[in-house]
Amino acid sequence: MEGDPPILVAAALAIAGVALLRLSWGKPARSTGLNLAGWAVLAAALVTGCAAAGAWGVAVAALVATGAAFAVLAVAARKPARKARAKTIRTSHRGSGDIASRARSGWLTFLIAGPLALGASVLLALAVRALIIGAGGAEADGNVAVLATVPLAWPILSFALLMMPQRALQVGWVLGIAAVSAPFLLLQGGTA
Amino acid sequence: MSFALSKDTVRRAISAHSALGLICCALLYLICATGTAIVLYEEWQRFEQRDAPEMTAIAPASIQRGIENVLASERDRPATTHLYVHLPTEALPRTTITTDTQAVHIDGQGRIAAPEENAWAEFLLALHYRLNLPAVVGMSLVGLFGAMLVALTISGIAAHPRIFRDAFRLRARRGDDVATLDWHNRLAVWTIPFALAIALTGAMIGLFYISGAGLAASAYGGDSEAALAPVFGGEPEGDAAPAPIPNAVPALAFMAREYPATRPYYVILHDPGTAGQHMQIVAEHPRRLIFGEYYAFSGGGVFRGTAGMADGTVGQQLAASTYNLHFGNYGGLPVKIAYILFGLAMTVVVATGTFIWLDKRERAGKLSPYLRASWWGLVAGVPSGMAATLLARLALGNDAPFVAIFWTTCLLTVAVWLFRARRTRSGEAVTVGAVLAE
Repeated sequence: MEGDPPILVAAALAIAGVALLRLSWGKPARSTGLNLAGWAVLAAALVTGCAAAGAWGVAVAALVATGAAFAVLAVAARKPARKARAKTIRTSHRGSGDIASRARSGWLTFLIAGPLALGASVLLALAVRALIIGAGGAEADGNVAVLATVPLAWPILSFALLMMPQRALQVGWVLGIAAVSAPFLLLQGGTA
Repeated sequence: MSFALSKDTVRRAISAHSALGLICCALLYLICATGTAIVLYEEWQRFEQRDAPEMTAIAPASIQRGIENVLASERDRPATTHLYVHLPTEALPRTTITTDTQAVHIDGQGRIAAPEENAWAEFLLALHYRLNLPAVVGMSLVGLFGAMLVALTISGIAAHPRIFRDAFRLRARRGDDVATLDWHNRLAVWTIPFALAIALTGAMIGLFYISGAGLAASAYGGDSEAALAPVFGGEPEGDAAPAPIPNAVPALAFMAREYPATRPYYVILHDPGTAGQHMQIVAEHPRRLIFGEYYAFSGGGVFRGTAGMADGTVGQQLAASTYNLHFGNYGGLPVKIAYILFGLAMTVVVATGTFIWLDKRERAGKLSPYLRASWWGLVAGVPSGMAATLLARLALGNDAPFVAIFWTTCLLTVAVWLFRARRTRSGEAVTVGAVLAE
């Protein structure tokens, strides 16, 4: 990985951004100014990386920021921690078991959030392709959009479905997306 | 910073996060652990076969001699349909020629030096890529788990209302449930960009058999190659009439003259020795995420054009960037080290996620010693399996039965942990019995 001034600046900004956030989140009271400064410097790192070397520069800046955060975490991990009594341990998990125990059929949930949502996502991806090509986009872009949309649409849809309290809502969303996307199957055209 | 999500929403998110995690944990752990190890794919190959000839560069004339020597060695068998010459790179400074039936290293003069022996690295790659299953099933399964990693990342963010404010809080030295929770949450938060990049690119590659099949069925009469042709370029019509074998020398000279900033690392001959033969050179573009650009040549070495990986449509460039972004081979050793560190962190996140679920069960009074033992067995079994296969490679050679050794080691490790849990429980029962008898 060659270093040149713009990439080194992006890397330095990434480290500075993490340092500012550490400073901000370490304060007893929230500091909006420091928070914004931290995020702004991180954003500047990505923009500088992008200006220096496009997607490659963004990837490198993101890796440096993550590495800097890991270094700060390593310091935190070495600090002695006061051990509270077990009954005072609080986690946001409390009460989540109640949701799970309102047992709907696990298999039906799996079927809806798994294969059915995947099928709906493939239809949605094909609809995206039809829209891209219909709008004058390149065939390559349309085809890659299919490959890229499925891994994004399916997990988001699955998570959303798992968050829905009613079965009818889950089924409605999956069938709705499929129904809206299905007509675009008639607009698929390739160069085969 | 905190998101204003209601308590009920957060609880639902945790419930969804737990459900997804439990379904995915075992194979996701395997995929993360093997993915971390395979970042060093090239380095493992060098380690496996330390006596293969190495070079920083090779003359085009030597490459051509190598091609001729390899094709001459195959006169007694059906003609190869493709021939790949791997040119020396920084990570793998070797020249290796692969045909339909063999793979050999050549020396700096183009002489065949030795067969390529990298079965362990290939095993590890296959374990990560397709879980040692047939490609359609295995890659799809890995792709599905990649997509679920995206869902886990999103649900994890929603499930943690103080995700950013707590981002530097790591009470590791407590050594209890809170420490496990902190490890899980902190490593997960900071690897979000990495995890999303890895998961999305991995799912994009792995789900091809599903999304690509849908595309091919709806627009290309079921022809997957035709669906990919607009992105990566198509294969010209073949002509089986005999012809002199291709000449890579003028093509490589053209690359050096016209594209000096690129680094050719593959020469690919299609249908060599036929009238329909043609040649591609894959060249790396420094400081780009794309794996390279395809430069097409006739069999005689006349330039025909590029596929557009480097300067084609956004979709082409995005597709060409998937592999490097996933495997971390776009910035030399520093990027590889970062990928190993963050890959290890993701592996720890998956492992601790299940431990958090077990801790929660036990806090609710549902003791799960065998479930916990099984999980410990798997967490220890996967690296043990990888280590056992590597030892087998060193002791037994290239033909060692890696798949059997790996899965046997995993199962044995789980069995050992279960046995220990059973013994502990038996011991506790005996102690309780003795106390009651007094």
